[in-house]
Amino acid sequence: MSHIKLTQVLIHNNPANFDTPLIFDISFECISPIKEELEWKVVYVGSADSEKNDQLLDSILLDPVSVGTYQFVFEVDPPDSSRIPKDDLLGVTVVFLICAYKGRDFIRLGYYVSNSYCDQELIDVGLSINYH
Amino acid sequence: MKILKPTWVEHSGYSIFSIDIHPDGTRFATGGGDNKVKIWSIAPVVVEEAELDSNVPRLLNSMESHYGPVNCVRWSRDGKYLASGSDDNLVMVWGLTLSGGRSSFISVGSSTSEKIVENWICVYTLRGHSADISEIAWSPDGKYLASSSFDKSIIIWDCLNSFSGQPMSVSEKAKLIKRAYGDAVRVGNDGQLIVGMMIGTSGGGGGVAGGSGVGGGGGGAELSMLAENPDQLTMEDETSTSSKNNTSTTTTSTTSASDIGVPIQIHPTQVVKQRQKETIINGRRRITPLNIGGPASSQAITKPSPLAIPSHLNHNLNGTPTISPQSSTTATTTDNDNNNNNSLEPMDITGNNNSSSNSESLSKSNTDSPTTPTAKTVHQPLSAMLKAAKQQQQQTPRDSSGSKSGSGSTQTTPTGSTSTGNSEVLAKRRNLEVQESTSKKKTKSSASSSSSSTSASKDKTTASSSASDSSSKHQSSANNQAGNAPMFFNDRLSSIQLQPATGSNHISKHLTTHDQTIPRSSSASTSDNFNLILDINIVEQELLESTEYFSTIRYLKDSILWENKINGKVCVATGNRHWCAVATHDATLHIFNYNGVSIMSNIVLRNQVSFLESNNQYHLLIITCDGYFSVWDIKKRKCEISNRELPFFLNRDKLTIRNALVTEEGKPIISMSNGVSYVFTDTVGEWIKITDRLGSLSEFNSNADTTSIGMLAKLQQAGKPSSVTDLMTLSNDRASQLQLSTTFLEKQLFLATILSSPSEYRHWLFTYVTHLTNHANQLRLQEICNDLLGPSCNNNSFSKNLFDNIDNNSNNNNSNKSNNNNDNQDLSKRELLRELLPTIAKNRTLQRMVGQYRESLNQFTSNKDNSLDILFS
Repeated sequence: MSHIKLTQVLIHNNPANFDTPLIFDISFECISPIKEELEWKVVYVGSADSEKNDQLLDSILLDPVSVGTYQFVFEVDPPDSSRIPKDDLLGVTVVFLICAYKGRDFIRLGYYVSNSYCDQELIDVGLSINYH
Repeated sequence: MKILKPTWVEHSGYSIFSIDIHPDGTRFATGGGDNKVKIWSIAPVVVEEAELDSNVPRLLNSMESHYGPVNCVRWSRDGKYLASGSDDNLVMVWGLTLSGGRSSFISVGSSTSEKIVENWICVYTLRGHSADISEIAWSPDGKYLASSSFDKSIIIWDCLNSFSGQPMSVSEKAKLIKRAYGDAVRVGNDGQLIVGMMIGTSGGGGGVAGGSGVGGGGGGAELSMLAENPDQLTMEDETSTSSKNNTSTTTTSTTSASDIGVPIQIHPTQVVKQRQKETIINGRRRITPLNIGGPASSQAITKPSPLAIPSHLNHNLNGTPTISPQSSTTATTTDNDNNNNNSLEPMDITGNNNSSSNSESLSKSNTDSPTTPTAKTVHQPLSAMLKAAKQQQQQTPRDSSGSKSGSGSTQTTPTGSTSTGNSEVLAKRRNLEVQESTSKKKTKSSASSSSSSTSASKDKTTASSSASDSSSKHQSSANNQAGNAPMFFNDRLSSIQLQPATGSNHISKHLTTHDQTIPRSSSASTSDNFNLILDINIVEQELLESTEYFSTIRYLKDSILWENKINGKVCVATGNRHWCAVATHDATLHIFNYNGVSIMSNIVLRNQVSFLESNNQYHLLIITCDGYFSVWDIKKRKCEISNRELPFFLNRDKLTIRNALVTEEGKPIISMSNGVSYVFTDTVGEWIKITDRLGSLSEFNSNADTTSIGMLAKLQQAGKPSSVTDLMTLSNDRASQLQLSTTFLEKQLFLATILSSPSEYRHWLFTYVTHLTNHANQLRLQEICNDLLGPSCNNNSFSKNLFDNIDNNSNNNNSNKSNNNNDNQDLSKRELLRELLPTIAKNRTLQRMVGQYRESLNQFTSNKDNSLDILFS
């Protein structure tokens, strides 16, 4: 069984502007000690078509933990909008919270992200406006 | 704003101290001065139609386990549990079970009126405070429960690892905030525990303690608390904690004693927040997470294990108040579930509902205790069992002559529900077999032959083999014999158990020494009323290979007199003020004397013990699960009756022993579930049935006996057949009725001698003689008179009549005692005769006989020969 179990993830700023950092408040428990460090990554899927538009927003390392429940806050930079295809800027996309051990992902938590304009008029006008 | 004032929310006229609405808004709980916690439905409050509709239940449940007014009731965030704190220093946690039936401990009085809609039972009783509980608070994540008390301390209970709590005592002068100021204890949004208290009346500011280790973290939530007293509480900004953070993570399974919090000084103006540590090493960001809890456990509420708060808390609260829990060994899972589907959990014993020592119960008609046919059906509806258990509790103990009253609550505690307490509930929750067995008790292994595989065979050998067959089952039934009812609440200070003690169970037996009734008891004077409690605590420890049980036996009077620890899980216990005996589930018996000296130890019996009874003197009755009993004389360390069989029962598998006791003379009496009682006489070496079916028809068998305090009467009253009318048809004939009565009276006489109850004997003798006189039954009268008269010469081998067993009574007392004894224990035969003669003389036809006897009497007594004269010695 898994040594690490994710018990809770909270997103602190939801909804927020596109260019604000994403804040994940992660709690996990360890039921048996692990020897190497854990790597937590947040990946923003720019476009559903291909993986090359995935942006690794941030990555963090956690020292090997012993048995217990742990909690930390993971604040990641916002995605770079220039790397996202224009067509996929608005709408629904996915952000992943991944935990890896020894280089292999073992937790993959996905969130649907919906991007839209703040102004109502812009929404009405539609997608034709160029986003700078 | 609508104002809703439901007038039907009431606590029998007492104040309502606390109210809390369930998180899902469907119900609310109130705690009141009548010691009850009541759960109400909100529907009738908010919806008018529902209020008018009489089908809508208003009161969902009423829990009456507390001994004192309930000060605070709080629902947990997830709504699964309700915590209640009261003046009896206890916090009880209630959970909802799906099983039907009433919740436990409904007192007799209120049982009829309130229909219980939801079954809330006490899943935990948290002991630790030494004074009234004022407030309770749950942490939002349900991990912790904090309670504050008038003993100037707060205790934080760890819900995950089982409810063990670390008390934190606020500065000496701190008093607890009264309700007017809002919660004394509240848990902040981010899980940090905040305790606010008002320190003295002279100001001084409130104290704030950061309890748990859950940090505020990042831009996380602020601590919002006690805004009501801004002047008293000033919050400082986060003092970031640092290195101490990390130390907590390393403590794992061995928390040394020094880590345990010692009373901390709380400085008023500090708020502790925790942050995770972030560093950048090698260009990579590293975070050290906060350790916020103990070993992973996804169970809701498990069994107690210690929660230690490190002593960092002592210092200025700059240190991180992280919780470094012990890694408790796995809690036994069966204790979790709140429903009936528990498989046999024989080990858990709780101290109550043992009717075994309820000799008093015999005096009440127990005809309505359910007798479930076989003990096999382990899973009983909770209601039936609880009801049965209830009945046991109801019996107000009255000391019948000699037999020690086990169920102590002689003090009329208002709720007959007595005990309560976790362990009782635990019993109910886990050991349904216990409850089932309480009333149709002790499924005697032989009696039950519930292994109906062996069809109700009367063969004793098969009975004993069936015992071994269904050994596990019997083990459970044996082991489930709980100690006696009332949990006498001792003010045990919160002891922090360091060992990973799971499953601690508790038996408490109240050994009253108050002999009220029979004047013949020479030992205890009537002013002797001190309360002795035999308290047993069972602790289960998980070792490498196996699980071991240790039991701590305590003798308590007002304080602990002595304490002993033995290996093994105690199933039954008994004792009086001279000694006490405990039997463990591996059939080992230990006997301690009043001072705690181990008199006899490690006696291994032939089988597990189902009954252990003592009288007020030195006799011990042991009934094992395979249907053998023994009577020992503890003083002489001798066995008086050794391993004899129980009497033959016609329908063995339907019968169980309801009660067993041993009289002051050392005669065992058992009372069966069908109301029949037996006494064993070792002169003949057999059992004598006390309740007589036909005899009940006699006109002499009435309940309004003057000798109702006698042993015989007590036992017989219990055995009143319910269908007397059937029997009445048998006795229409006048002559046969006469004969019936005569025989009945003779039987009574015999029994009275067996039971060594002189006053009753006297009564029956007189009745008998009068009866005979009225019917001019000269023959029998002559016999009686002859017996009473005795021989004219001094002859020791005088052994024809039925009084001999009394003469040879193996009692301590001197057989040459004269009649001057105040207690009137001795009846001289000739004196009796002398008294009887006038009665006989009332019948003219017998006058001649009377004259003859009178003459003989005078002759004999002039010999001044008293040695054979004594009836009862």
